[in-house]
Amino acid sequence: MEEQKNPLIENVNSPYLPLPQPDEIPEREREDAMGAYLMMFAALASSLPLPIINLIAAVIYYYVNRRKSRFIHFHSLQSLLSQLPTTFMNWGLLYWFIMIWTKEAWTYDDYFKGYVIAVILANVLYIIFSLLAAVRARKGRMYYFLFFGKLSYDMVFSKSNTLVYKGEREAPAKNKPPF
Amino acid sequence: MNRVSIWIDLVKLLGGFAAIWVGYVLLWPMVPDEFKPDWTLDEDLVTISIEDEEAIGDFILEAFEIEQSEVLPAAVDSGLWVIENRLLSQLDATDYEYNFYIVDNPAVNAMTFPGGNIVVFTGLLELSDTPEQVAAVLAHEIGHAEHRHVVDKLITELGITFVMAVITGGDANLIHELTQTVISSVFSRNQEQEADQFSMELLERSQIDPRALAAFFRKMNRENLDYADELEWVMSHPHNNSRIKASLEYEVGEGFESKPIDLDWDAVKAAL
Amino acid sequence: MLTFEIKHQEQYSRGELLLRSFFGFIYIALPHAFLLMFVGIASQVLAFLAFWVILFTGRYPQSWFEFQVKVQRWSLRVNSRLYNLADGYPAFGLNATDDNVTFDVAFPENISRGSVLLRGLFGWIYVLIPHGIILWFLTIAFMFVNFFGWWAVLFTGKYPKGMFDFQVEYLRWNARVGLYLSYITQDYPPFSGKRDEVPAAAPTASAGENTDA
Repeated sequence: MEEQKNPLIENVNSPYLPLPQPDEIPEREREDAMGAYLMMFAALASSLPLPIINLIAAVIYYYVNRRKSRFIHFHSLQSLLSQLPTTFMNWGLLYWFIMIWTKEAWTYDDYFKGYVIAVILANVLYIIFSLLAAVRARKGRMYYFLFFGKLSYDMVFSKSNTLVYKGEREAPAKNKPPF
Repeated sequence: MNRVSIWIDLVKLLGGFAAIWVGYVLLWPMVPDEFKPDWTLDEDLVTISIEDEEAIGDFILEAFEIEQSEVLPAAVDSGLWVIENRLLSQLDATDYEYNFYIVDNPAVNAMTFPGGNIVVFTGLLELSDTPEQVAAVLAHEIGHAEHRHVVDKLITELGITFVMAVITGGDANLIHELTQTVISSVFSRNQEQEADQFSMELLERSQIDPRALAAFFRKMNRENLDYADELEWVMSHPHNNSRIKASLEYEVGEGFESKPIDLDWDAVKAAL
Repeated sequence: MLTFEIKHQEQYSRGELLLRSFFGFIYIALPHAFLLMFVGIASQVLAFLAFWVILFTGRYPQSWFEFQVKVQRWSLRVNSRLYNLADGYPAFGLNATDDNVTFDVAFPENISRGSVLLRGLFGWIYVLIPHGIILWFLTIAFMFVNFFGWWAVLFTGKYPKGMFDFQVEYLRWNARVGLYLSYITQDYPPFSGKRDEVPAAAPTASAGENTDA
């Protein structure tokens, strides 16, 4: 007889905890999850459009909000992890640009132009996908970035994640089924 | 399994970024020039007028005492004139009145001074095998002048206020400082490439084989082992193999016929 | 709806008054201001972002809202001491409560996007300028009244009710304008510092009303 897998029943063999479904996620949590993706615009709020302000805002948001729930933790982590390479890329661009401007030996060559194009494209994609994720998060949905999505899921929903979340039982379930 | 798929995702991400970057670097040179937008960076640098540049040139020539040390045996003078004429007649619409000065000095050197004044040392003439090689060097120097590299270099190194002070006052110390900069500082790699490109185009239009420039560079390379200090033209024009390569690979248009310069070069050299 | 109250104490401590006047900057203002500076940055960032979030979703994110209210409450706690309107040392922290000071805003479930957009673009014209002009004069009056109040407490140990109320109303007016412009409250601030009128409770069946004779 074929076993019908009921997806709502926790699969004890999986190393991951089950995902909360949209109807289980209260509005407040959804808003907090959405907020994570908006931290990239923090630099606009301050008067210094330096690439590091976004990163600082993302880090602070992450630490303030992560214990509220796994759903929020997932989205905050995904936002933070994807913000990291973006920031470094942008710093690299800034550095390279200043070097070209001030040093004779550095030229405005094809390598630089190629890098500029790649970085601009990466930033545009980052913003678009972050906004998409923000909208999805507000609907209580998961959204996975390339690489960062899987990594964040692995870090948050894995059963070996020891972080204690508000509203979850402290110790892992002691009673386990025999098979 | 999950871990693997995470790493695969990372590879995809980095690969995408690299693909765009490397793709641009490799493919953009293949796009024909008509489709490329004009995005030069330094076009409208703060700069000075041609007249001002010529004034500075005059100051420097005076300071350098060029007029006095000009070498004038007739054979040399007229010989150089043939070469100059071949090149200058092919220059369309230049703002400069080019003056070529030959200085009796064993150093292998040629320099562009502000104002379209080009100085050639006899050492360089002696070392050249053919007049075409000299033409290549002169074309290169003309390239620097036409692209206003000398002025750009002065302004970058000394600042526009300094340069203006020289023009307006002609103070001896400032001029000395200016001259030092002209002689000693080096053009950027970008500027060298531009001058090379210009010289090859000019040589082509003058019906001289552009590979003469490469020939001259290689001659310098070979001689470098023996005459390290005297090859100042080499020092002030740091070149690498890519420039030789560029000269050799320069594609002349169809119908190009190289016409050798009608000159008994050995006779010219003998008169030096 | 805004609840903005500073308790008018029966007695004011002269000792604390003098201590605050000479050293208040060091032991009250500096420590709180230092912390509030960082909190203030976060508040500004969230206020900026809130504008956009409200425009797109029609709702002020609740955690952000509560955060902003807590920041304002903290500021009021500190300021009430610095203006000598309350005694005691102001508690630190976003979650601290205070007996002398009450600051609360009811969370708006639905916010009109049009109103927010209008405020964002033209708020400075139709809110800041009218209220600003009047408040400018009131600020001068406030400073004088505060000054006289200081002497009154020094000599009598009590704060005259009229002076006290005037100052609280000034602060309340100020707060209302700020809250309106930062999208926390949704009603155009009245040109007065008087308390919001609590809507009359629905008449309940009480012994005095519907007695059968």
